[in-house]
Amino acid sequence: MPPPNTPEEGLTAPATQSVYADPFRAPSPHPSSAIAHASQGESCIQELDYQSIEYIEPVDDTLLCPVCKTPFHSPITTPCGHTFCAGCINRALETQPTCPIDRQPINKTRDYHRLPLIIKDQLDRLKVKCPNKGCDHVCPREHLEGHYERRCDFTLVRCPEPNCSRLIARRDATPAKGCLHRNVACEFCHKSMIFAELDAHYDHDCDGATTKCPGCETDVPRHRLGKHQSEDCAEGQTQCRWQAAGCVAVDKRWVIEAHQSSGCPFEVVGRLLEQRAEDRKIIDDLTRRLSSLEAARARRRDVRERRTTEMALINGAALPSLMSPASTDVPDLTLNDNMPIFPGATAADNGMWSSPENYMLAQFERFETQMEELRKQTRDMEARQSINTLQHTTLVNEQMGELASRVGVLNMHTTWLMNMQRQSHAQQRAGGSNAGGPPNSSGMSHSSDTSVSAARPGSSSDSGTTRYQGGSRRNSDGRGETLTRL
Amino acid sequence: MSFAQDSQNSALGSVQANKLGGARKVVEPGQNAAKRLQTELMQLMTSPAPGVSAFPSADGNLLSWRATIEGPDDTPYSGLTFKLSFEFPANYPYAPPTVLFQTPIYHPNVDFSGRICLDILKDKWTPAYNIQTVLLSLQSLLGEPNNASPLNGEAAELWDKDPTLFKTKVMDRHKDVEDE
Ligand SMILES: [Zn+2]
Ligand SMILES: [Zn+2]
Ligand SMILES: [Zn+2]
Ligand SMILES: [Zn+2]
Ligand SMILES: [Zn+2]
Ligand SMILES: [Zn+2]
Ligand SMILES: [Zn+2]
Repeated sequence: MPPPNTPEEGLTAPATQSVYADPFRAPSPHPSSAIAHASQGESCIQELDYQSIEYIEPVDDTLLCPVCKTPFHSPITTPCGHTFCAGCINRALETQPTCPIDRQPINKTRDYHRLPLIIKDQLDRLKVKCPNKGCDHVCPREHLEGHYERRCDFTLVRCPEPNCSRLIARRDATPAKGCLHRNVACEFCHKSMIFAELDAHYDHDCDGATTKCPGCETDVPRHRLGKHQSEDCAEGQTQCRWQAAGCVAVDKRWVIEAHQSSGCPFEVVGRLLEQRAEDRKIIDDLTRRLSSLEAARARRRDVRERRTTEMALINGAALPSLMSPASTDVPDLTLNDNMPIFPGATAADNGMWSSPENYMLAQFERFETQMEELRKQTRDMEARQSINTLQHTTLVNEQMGELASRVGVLNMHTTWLMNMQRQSHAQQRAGGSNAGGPPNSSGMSHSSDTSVSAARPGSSSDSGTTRYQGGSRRNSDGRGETLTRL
Repeated sequence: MSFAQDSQNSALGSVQANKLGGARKVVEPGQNAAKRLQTELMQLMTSPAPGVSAFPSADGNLLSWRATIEGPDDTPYSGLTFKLSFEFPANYPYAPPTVLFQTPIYHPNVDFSGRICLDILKDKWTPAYNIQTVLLSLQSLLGEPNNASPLNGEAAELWDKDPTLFKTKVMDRHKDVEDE
């Protein structure tokens, strides 16, 4: 390892400074945007900054650039397999020509690979909010640049006045309005601002600019008028609180307030409905928690069933003919799994469970007993399985013994036949030399007579023959045994 | 379309933008650093690493942070807590932060003014590092000093020769500091 620099050596290496000199060599991913401006005749000055976009939903970690820690923008992959925003990696390479993750050398642009389209699609679909102040536009990310650069009313563009170099929101950038950049002071609070911002100031934060409420004729700050009318104004039109329960009373606020306090006929129903809504919420919450529990249990059951089938397969492959009777007494592992856990809304409604906690507790106890039962059954099954295996092994052993004895018999047959052949050859040779000619029919019958007599039990001292006799007996005994056992 | 073509097209695009009478304004330096630090702050708060913590300093300047490291078990620093300061350059994460120990520490790679000799804070820095990885590296540096290039030669010698004396010196030097 090369000795690290001492702290005294500054962090402002020449390479670092060059980043400032030419900060944005990053290629723009949407080369068409500039051309689009030309056709519209106005240019959006500030490039859309992808790093400041607000994402509506949480973004998966794998889609975040390791350098800027925001979702990739026009990503590339290095030869070492790491992915970065093109802008981020280009800027990093200006300082150091290596991968920021594993320090593999990288040759700028020549070494880059494009990303699978599936990643691009994922990035394109991310829901984002327009970064312009005042704009609430939400869209998939692939459409944001079009919105920002061509359509959004709040994007800053050049002032239509040729001598003015400042920026203005697109909706105010019309030749008719002219330059809105002259400085003015608010006539109510005397704050200084540019003319273009005056309206927004009145409507949003000036406490001095008041206006008369058309209903109650009191002065209210302009930016609070809407809230006043919908919530406070005594002359404003409003509905009875128990509208959802069926009350149709609509009148000025002070009338309605009197109506409510003197006892709206729908109040009882309304309160019941509110109660129900609350119950509903509790039930929904419980259902959600239970369904997640049930899902977890289903996953466990899947695993268990897979194991059972695997076990059956293993056994079936080893002893195909003997397994079938055994498989019928495998215990029913499904138990009462198919019974729904949640007894329906009724249980919660009639107060059977005093609280969600008690209800959950009861469920857990049920699960535990079921688990215990399953465990017992598994143990039973294991015992039965090992007994089965033992029996089958014994049977197979016996069959093997029988086969061995049959092989022995065959062996003896062969020995006996070969002896026979040897004997008849010897006799033929002897007969041939005596007669001095081809053997006649009587000579043949004579030789076959001797061979038959040699086969007769006890008549010969040939050891092969005796063994054959014994083997034969053993054989028949063994077969009888097997048959009775089967 | 290859990447090379992509960049050619964008060059063409910027030429046209220039013709339209306005070079596109770019994000000022420091703004991206602040954004990235905001993201890191979120990450540190949602998934904190055990034994280390960091937070922007009280004055609201996002380019200046305070951090703490707990001394790892089975090291002479076990049971001690160390405060550090992070100063981020405007081009962070393309350049490393300046990290200093605020709590006095007796360590082969830290000098008496708290300056740290750690390669990833100097020439081995890459923009993929972040506050959390730096803190974790510093934490492991406490247990495994790089005695080949010490800032505190005596400490480097004692580390191997006399662990008991080393521990005494660590305890002597350590004292709690207030946040300024
Ligand atoms: Zn790499
Ligand atoms: Zn990036
Ligand atoms: Zn917008
Ligand atoms: Zn203007
Ligand atoms: Zn005002
Ligand atoms: Zn009013
Ligand atoms: Zn009513």
